[in-house]
Amino acid sequence: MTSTVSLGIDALDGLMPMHILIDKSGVIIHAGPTAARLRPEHDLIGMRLFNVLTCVRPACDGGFEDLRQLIGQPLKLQFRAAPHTRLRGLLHPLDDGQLLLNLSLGYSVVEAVSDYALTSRDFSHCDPTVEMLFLIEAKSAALSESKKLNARLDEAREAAQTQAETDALTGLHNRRAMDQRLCDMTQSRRRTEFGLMHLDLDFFKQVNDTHGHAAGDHVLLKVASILREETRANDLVARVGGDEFVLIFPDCTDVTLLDTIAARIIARLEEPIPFGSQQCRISASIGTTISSLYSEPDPDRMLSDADTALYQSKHAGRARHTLFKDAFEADDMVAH
Amino acid sequence: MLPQLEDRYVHGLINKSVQGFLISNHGSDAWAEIARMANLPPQGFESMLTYPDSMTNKVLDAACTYVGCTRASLMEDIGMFLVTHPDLEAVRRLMRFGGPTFEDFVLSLDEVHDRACLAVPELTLPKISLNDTGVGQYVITTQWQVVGAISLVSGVLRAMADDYGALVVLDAGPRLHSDGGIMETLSVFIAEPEFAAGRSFTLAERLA
Repeated sequence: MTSTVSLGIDALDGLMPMHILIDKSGVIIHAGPTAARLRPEHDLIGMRLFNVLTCVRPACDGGFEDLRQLIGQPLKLQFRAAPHTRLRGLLHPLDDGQLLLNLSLGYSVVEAVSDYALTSRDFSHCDPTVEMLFLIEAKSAALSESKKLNARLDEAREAAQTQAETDALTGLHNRRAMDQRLCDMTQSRRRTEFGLMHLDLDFFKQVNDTHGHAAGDHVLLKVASILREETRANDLVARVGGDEFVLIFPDCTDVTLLDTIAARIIARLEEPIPFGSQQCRISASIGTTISSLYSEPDPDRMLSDADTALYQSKHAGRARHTLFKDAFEADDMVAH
Repeated sequence: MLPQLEDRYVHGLINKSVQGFLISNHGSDAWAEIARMANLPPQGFESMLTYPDSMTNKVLDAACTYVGCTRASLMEDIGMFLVTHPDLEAVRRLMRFGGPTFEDFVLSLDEVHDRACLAVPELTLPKISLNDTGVGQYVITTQWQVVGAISLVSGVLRAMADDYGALVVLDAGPRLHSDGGIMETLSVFIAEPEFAAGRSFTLAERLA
């Protein structure tokens, strides 16, 4: 046995401020205070429910008898006129043949509070809508803090990576960066042809011994800036030892061009470098190989070959450039 | 009884707010010096990490020494800063969700701890309880692991009273140490709920 309660309109308005009362013929006869905030009175009271709202699910567009079939079902409704706010609804029959439709904003809540300028007083004290709005704002504030943290971490990671790939004194790339680049360029799927130069400074030890380490460091900085100036932006210049450098020239296997570049680098390095009242004089020996000499270029093999060519330069009296072309075998040689 | 794990940590949002207040009111150089005194890295706190409460206490102590003020007045200034600084409009708005009048706001204070946890689960704000002591009169009790929670609340209340346009009288009460942390009290008297025009607040401002 169920007990019955009878509630006055005032009680309904207080308990469920977003309700609508519909008479026997499907016409709206009363709207709770919040429901009344959604439409002007003349667009609501005295109108047929289905002229104001359309039932999206379950699909229903008919008359009052259809309406009765929706009793107790979860309803998705939408205003026919703009703003086309979507609502959730539940329909309940009353004793005298009238229907009570209780509404809620569901996920339209954010748009709706803005569209209808709703305030906390428009929601029942027991309705968690305001708490939900609070949570949406609090979560988005927290999320934006998280995003800021992520951005900072990302920046720090990039800085750390750059630092890990940079030679601290000269700001050139270091051996790690060079190894990575060579590895990338020789990977079969992304293979790029390139020229590889190994450069060793001549007479650098004398600069250190005669003028001191400060002069040596000064010379290295000058060398770095010359190497940067004599190469393109996407060429890689790495300091791989005290006075050893490796230069990688992507998409450049033209030995004549590489010879010209090497000659220009040597000429510029031979210009006296002033340090205080002294003039530091150095030169460089260079050995070069190119990826197109190998059917499957291997970084270690190419570095070793460039090194061989470099030592040929040293043995031939320093301050010169040698192309590696002696040591390759007939079986892995490609016609050039 | 040992304190709960959460009670020994202070969320980065709180620590970062302290840092933000010190930089905003006293400058970056002051912050750098306070951070140095508290053995913190100069970049200070991250807002989405948590820190042992000893770090929060060190920073607050260093700030008091540097500025030459008491913990209570520092915390009260931080509380005011949180709801009045334009960069922290989000905080003011979240506070205004407490209710349409200043009294509703006061009555919502005992939910602040739970509301904060709902948004950021590790964010443990002071636990606040309320006792009615007469018409428009309440005694607020805070329970937190850091000394000065009541002053923080007092600063927030002063600023929020301005925001709502209410006239209030605040009086600090006694402090007690208990198992659950430090308990501090404050009496609030709402002398005039609508003393002046407050600032506007609509639910939709930030959401649209």
